[in-house]
Amino acid sequence: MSASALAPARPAGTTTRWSRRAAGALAFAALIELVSRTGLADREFLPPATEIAARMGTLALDPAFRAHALTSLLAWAAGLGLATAAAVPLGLLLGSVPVVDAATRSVVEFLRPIPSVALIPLVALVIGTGLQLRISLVVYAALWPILYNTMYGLRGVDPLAKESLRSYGFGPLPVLLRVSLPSAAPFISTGVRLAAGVALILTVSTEIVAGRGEGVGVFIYFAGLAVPARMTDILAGVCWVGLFGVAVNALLVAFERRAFRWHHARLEERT
Amino acid sequence: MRLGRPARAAIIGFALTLAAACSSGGGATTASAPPAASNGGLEKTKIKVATLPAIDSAALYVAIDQGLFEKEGLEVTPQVVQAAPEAIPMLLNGEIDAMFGNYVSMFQAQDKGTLKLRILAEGSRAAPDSLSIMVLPTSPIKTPKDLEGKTINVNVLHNFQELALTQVLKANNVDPASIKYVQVTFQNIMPSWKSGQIDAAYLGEPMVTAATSTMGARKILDPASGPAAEFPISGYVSTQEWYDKNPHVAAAFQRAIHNAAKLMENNREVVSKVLPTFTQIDAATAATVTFPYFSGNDNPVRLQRVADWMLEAHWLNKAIDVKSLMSPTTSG
Amino acid sequence: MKVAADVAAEAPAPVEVLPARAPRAAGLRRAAFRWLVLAVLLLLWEAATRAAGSAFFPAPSAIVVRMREMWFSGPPQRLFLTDVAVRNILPSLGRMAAGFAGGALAGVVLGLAVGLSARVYDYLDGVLQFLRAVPPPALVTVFLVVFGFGLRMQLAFIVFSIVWPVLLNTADGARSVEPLHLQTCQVFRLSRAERLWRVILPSALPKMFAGLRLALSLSLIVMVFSELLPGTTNGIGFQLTEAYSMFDLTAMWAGIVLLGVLGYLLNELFLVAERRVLAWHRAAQEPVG
Repeated sequence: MSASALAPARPAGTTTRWSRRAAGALAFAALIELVSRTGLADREFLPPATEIAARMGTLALDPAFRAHALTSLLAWAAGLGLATAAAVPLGLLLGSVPVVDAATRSVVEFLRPIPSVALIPLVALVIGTGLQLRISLVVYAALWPILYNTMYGLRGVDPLAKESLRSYGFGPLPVLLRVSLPSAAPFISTGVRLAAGVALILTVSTEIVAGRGEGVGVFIYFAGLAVPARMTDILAGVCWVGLFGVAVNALLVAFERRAFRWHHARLEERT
Repeated sequence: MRLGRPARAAIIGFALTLAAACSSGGGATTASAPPAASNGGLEKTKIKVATLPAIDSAALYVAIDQGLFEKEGLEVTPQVVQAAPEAIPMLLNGEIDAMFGNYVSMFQAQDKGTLKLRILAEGSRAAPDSLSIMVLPTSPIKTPKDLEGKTINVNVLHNFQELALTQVLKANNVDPASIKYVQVTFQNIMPSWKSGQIDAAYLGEPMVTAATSTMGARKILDPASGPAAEFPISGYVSTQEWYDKNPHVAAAFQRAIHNAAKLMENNREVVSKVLPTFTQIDAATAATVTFPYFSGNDNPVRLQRVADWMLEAHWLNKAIDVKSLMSPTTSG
Repeated sequence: MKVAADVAAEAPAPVEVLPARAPRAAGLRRAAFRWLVLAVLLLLWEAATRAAGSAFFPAPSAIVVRMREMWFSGPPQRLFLTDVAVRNILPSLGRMAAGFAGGALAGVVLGLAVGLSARVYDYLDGVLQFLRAVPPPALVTVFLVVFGFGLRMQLAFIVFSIVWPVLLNTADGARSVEPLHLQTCQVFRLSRAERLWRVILPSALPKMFAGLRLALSLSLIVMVFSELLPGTTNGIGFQLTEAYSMFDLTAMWAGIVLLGVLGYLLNELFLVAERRVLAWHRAAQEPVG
């Protein structure tokens, strides 16, 4: 899913690429501006892009909104961190011990399609409704991409390397840590990047559906309670979330490229 | 085999362990102070109450604002939630002591055995014009009879809105079964209505005032009239278990709420003053909206009506004796 | 095998490594083992819920009884489906299928367009990444204004939510065609259409499937979300939330379990389809690669 993880087929200059991206974004904003100003969509419910952008600016300076953003950020980071901490060892276990995988596969496949929204009341009852509710739902949703990518990263490990290490008398755990884990790392990292996106959407969505206290989603929810609804506030909040998502993705892509240069080099060599 | 248990409960428990290990914020513990002899035998002095960001919750905020809880030796912390069903898990796991909820939801929970209910104090009753079935100025709907076969929004299906309207429609010779109810979240009522997705809008305050003044909307029917006049909507409830443990707190709480309601009866300002602090209603609107009635005493007879109608609509499996869930009124 | 490795890096859903057919006895043994584990876990679940006695956590046996009562106690000529099942499960599946088809089609077409031209790719990259990061529940009002109530809005919501993995994976797949193959095309002067059909599409296929599979499991989840949208009057998600708002927790659990089962079955079905298509694809690729 990383659009930009691989180098483009016909590389254009970095500046050109960035200016094109900016042009694309501007065109998108212009489209919204047009739809709203011409009355194609009721302006009350889809305000012009310029108004949204202006509101984004004032929100950034508003300490109350910054507090909301910080809380969401915290829930997102904690959820993603916990999901990673849980999913990587689990993935290593499932990916390297076939018996465990066989035993749990049906259960895992059964759990994955259950939407987190259906779990809200149950989680709320068991662990309470504060930040921990958001975090555990984020963990639940972000777990899967990391888990699966870890398991599949392990499948691609060079059997020869494992074999040779074994022949030097290394036990299964050192082999796992010295060969399998490093070799699966690029896959795990992609999984984390995918999970980061899922976690962000989940954090804000949970806040909208069941949030209280602070959070961008709570801000959005209350803006919707006003009569008439403060659509500019809602969309400005949404845009901040979207921009944050883009930034996190770009950062993680850059990290992957740097940290796993050897991996991408290998991929390119083969293609 | 850590993931090896199929119960989602286990997954949640797993997430819990992790979340609890690392999250510093948020706590599920109920703050409680040791019972102080100086507080008239109150079992605890600090309580948390879930409220809704709606005018109906005002009595609690007025009681806080006017120091009525303080007078009883109580320190009440409100926790705004989005809807009553959300607060029930909080009530059950002890995050909150009491909640402000609508009776229809509460009676359903009692009926299904989800909750052993105790009504601490009555809250709000529908006042004339605080709820309204409205249509846009251009709508062909002129009389209640025209509503037959039409689509009307409700916040939640099978809730007090439907229950009250059914009675009023019957009284107006309109077939209640012909109405199509659709669930529309608060924020989306206006766009759905303006774009013709719903034929008539079931509005509460402050939307009634806004729709009348800015859109020229016409009122077709008052769902809180005739048989549903002064229809009880919401009240303050806890679990029976909590009540048994904290009878003095419950009595003190009830007194403060009732006293607040009496204070609010002929003093709009005390209400208008608190509304902007917990709803999205600004001071200017707060001065003009129609308030519901705030109950200054508890009355099992009018509440029993709600349970009876629910039974009639087959929303309950068995009859509920409301009186057995209520406490004696101890306020003057 | 390199393809499988590549795909896994991009797709959260597992892509079964295409095996040489396992010996039948071993396969049977594995299946038996799986079911045994499942049975043991079910028993544990039953015991735990009975011990806990919480209204929020009914025993699995109670859930199954309720599922039967609610959905599967109809007349035999209707496959035992009850009216409630026909009114709720079928529309849900229909919505999901239509949403998935729409999202898959849009994703593949847009993905190819984006993937084939570096220029288009650059222009759209930012906007697409942005839209992907936006939480759909915050946009409900915008969807409502643009699409109106009911099916159109629900489908738009599903398509919008699931199109991203297909789109981005297809684009990536189309961009990473082996240069050698493209050079060959030039040598043989293949037309644009022939090049797309014979070279680019097949080589983008594995990645596309990874995206599709992800979209499929997402579509089930998003279908439930779409049934919470204003104006919804039926569906599994609708029943589930209605059950909770009326505190019928066993019915709510019935919905959860049904979703789990459906997701499991869908995944199995998709694996079969994928194995077929990719096997054809591998056979077709063999002489070339």
